[in-house]
Amino acid sequence: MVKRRVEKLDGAFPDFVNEADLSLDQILDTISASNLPLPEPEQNSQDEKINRFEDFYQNKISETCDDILMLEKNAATIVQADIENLYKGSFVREFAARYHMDENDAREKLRLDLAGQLQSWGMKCINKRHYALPREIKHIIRMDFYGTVDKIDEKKDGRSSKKLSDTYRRRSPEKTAGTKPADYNLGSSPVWIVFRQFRSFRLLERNLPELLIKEGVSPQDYKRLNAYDLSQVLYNHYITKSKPDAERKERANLFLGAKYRFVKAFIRRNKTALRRIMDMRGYDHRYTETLIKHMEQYGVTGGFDVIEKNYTQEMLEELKKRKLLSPEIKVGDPITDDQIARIKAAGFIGTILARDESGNPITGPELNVHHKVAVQDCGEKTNFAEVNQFKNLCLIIEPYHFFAHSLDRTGMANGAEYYVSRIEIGEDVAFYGGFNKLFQIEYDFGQSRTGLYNRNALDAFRNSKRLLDTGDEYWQPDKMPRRQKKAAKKLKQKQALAEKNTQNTNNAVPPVPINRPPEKDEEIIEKPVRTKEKAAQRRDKISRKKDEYMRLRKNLIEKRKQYLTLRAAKKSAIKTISRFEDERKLEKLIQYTMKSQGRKR
Amino acid sequence: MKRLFENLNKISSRHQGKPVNVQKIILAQKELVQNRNASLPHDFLEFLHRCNGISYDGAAIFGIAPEGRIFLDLVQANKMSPLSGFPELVILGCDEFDYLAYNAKRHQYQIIDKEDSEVLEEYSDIEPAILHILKI
Repeated sequence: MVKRRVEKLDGAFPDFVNEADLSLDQILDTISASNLPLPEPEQNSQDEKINRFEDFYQNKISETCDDILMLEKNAATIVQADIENLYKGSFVREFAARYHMDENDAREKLRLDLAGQLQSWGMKCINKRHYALPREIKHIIRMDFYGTVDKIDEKKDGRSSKKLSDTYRRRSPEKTAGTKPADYNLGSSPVWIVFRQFRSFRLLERNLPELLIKEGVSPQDYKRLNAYDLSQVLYNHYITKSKPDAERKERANLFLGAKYRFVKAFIRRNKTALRRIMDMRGYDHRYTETLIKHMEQYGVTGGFDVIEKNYTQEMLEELKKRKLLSPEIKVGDPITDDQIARIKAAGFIGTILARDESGNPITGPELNVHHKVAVQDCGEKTNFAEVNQFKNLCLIIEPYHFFAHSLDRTGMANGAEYYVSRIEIGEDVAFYGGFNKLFQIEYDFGQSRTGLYNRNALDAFRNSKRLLDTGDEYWQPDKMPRRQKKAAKKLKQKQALAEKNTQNTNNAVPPVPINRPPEKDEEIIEKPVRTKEKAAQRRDKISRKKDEYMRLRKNLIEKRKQYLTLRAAKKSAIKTISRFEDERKLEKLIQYTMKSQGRKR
Repeated sequence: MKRLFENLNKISSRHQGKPVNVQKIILAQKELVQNRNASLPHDFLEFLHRCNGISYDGAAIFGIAPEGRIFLDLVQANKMSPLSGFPELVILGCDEFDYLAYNAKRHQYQIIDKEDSEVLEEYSDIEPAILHILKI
């Protein structure tokens, strides 16, 4: 059985070397292959060409690359075999019997060996404290990661962990009759405070009050909604937008998920490096180009068809027979997007696929987005948006992703504290294509250092009841121009005055709770109340001053106008004079020349 | 099953393994039972007869030693998962956060959180469960 299993796995990894060649000596042999002495010059002409001075470094470099790739593949195969042994009961039992130890100890020993093996290849296994995340926050993180929201269907046959609250179930449009969007204080919901930590949800924030009114959730009920209720509110609105005619309406698109945004951001900055790695790993350049195109356009990293660029004779014969192409198309003509769509719809996409030498469609590696710090370990964070930030994400090729999770272990109790085992990938690694650094791309997305999300600044700004125009994660309020500042201050003063006046007329002072420090406006209200006469006097004074100011302003404008006309007149006069002077000078010159000519005669 | 494949065929962007022969399926079944996993449900066997695993956009439905894709191997994934100690479960697929497993005791397809092993969703039919994990 075991033998057959090994055979199967060998087949599953055809580009890797056989397990028989995995001994360290063999690996060292492959490395030293490039260090062998060069052949003698009197060998055949082809060898002479190889050993020419100008070809030497090129050959040397390509040999070294081949060695590195071979070493990489060998290492991957060794790790894979170790993982398999660790999880194979028969192997663990045999190991325990051989070294006279308990089965659990044997497994732990194998585990440590594997951890050591991985560490030598740059994947560090660490034990760290585990801070569990509440389920609702995980739900929000997932929504942000995928950019979608699932329907919460309580009537479906199986059970579900997503439960709508009674408050949400009791919603009715009557409850929100006459309610305005301004009546909702979005910050009063502890759940929405977590939602708004994510940039994408903050962008949706403006529509939320209207959606709540539409759903029939009153401002009082809003505070008691859970994360599933709010996601259902979003689902109800966005499902009509995202899939109006779809058969399945289980999932609505909200925005471009963090996963796809990361892929797009990564490829924008690391196109050349990715091309180099894919080339070194021996993947077809047509696959690489299609991958890059899909990463740029859609943020996806795999599972697409690699299409041939131009038509061949066989393709044309097949497609023209099916009447999928017009007869004018010739061999070598480019395959357009419209034609691809038509051929795909007819189910003949296989005809135009790019193929390798053996005639198989071109494929490439499986690329996944990996959370460097696992979502589950982020319970200690105060800003949960950090989980899906670019600095915590990395693209990783299989089987390395599989290796990275091979030692995952949770719930290791040590008294009251819980620890987890995780494999750590370098902090700045944005692409992990192999153990060797040559197959990795390091990129600091810079969010941690340059533009840190300043929550205090943002909160202060939000408290000043100014709406967010820019929903950037790391956005900080810009400095206001002086003029605007002045105008805002004036407006604020005016509003305060008007408020005071109305309060004076109503003669009503709102009660201030004892346990809460009074706000600024309230402090003003608490001051001795002025009489109506004083207020009228003050109004007169202000209007007088305003009139005076307006008069002065008018005078100033008139004076400026006068000055401008004078300046224009002066300019034109100078122009005329200079022209006149020039003419006089010319005349003088003519007279002088004429005189001199006369003298000569 | 026909409807499931109709839905799957709509997305061209997927890796789909070629159907597996009966012998390989029997071998894998035996190995799963030896490893104290539940045996594969009937619907999933039918699925394997049509395709040997699918991977799409970071999510995967496992196959039986699919060519060149060790991480999509059903037996391997079951050995490595933290759910391997539950004899009523067999893992059939996964995405970034969850496993798709079959609970033979409850006769339900379950979406289980990878870390805390909490059952998030249950489906009595394979089609919505696969579509859930593949996010189609």
